[in-house]
Amino acid sequence: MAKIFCVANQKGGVGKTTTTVNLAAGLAKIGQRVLMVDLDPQGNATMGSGVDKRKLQLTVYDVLLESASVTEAKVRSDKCGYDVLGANRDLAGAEVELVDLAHRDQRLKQALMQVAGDYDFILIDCPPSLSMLTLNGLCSAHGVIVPMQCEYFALEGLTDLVNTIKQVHANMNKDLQIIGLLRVMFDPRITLQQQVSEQLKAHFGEKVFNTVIPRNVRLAEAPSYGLPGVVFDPAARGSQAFVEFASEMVERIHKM
Amino acid sequence: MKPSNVLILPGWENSGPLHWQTLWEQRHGYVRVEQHDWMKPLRGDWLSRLEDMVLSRDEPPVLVAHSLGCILTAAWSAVSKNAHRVKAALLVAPGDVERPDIREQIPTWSPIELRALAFPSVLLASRDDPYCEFERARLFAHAWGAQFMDYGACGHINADSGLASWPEGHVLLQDLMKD
Repeated sequence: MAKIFCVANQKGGVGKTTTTVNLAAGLAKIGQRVLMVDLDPQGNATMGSGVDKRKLQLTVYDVLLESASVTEAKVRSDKCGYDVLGANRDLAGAEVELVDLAHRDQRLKQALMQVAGDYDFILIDCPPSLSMLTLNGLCSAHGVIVPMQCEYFALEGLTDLVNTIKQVHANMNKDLQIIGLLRVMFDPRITLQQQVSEQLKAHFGEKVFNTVIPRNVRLAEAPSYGLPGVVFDPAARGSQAFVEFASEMVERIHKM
Repeated sequence: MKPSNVLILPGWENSGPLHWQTLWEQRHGYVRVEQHDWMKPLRGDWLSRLEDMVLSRDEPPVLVAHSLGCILTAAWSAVSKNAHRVKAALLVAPGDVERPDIREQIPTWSPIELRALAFPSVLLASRDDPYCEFERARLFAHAWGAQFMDYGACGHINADSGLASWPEGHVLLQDLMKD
């Protein structure tokens, strides 16, 4: 049965989508069966997985409204080696349409349960806001992966996310926990980043992943080619770090 | 009421410079609900845009919908918890998106929502509308609880109908804007 993880951070621009698609590609590369779910109406994780969001006939929006199953709506990204349950701007309507529906925050979970046996990992790219979409992601997941830059204000955003996760854990999903904090866009030459990194280690201990994703131009370039860095340039330092991170995730779920 | 609280909802492919919706907007200062993509209308995206625009008004808005804009109005009213905020709607020449040739192009708009609107409305239908049979328009009006008006043979009640700024339609709108 698949382990389901949200990649979330309530602070925007922290490399959330980059983390989702590269972890998905890294896991696929080491032989894991992966479904990537794009829960952001911007559809960047969809496009970044080599799937054109404008050409999708069915998306996660149809799944949330129960007009399609995951099996019907998913597409295969052959280049990346994983399945994609994509999103486009249609998904914004779900915020309006789900409000009065029964079990509105459990719809994704119910849909993913149907395909959990087909995958080892299901990764969900959440939008940065705390919305009905994010709640659906958090209610579906066994855990949350939190990508963060080692900058001064990063810790403030983390406090909000930790509080949200505590609330969801208490009221909606007893399984939910923070799996780990992933240090991304890390530049060891910057003293402040080293200091924040040490603070994270001191405060969160083993919850901080050992792998560190370095700041890397090739990772930043890859989305414009519609690919994760791991696929676009496997030899790049950032790509290799994500494959290493994928291995660390596999080890970590064996301990769960 | 302030003109900024009258929301113009064009249909598929937007309303062009000679369409009465555009002329009303220019002449009276009404506000168009701009969609991200007029050529490939995504139902959820359009619903979300309408929701945002209704919530950003400073008094209950009046909706002025044409063609797919009418179908959008019905879909939004059925699902939005904010539908009660709307004062009224003028629905002109609803587009029958369940028709096979149209459904094939924009499948997610079917089925058409047939629950009663949460606000008063008037629906104008044309007897020779190429995008909706007259009796289908009557059915929509009945289901939505809209006052039905037979507008005779006037095509799709758009720029091609030769209505110019359509003062007759604007009188109907002004009635809906009254307290």
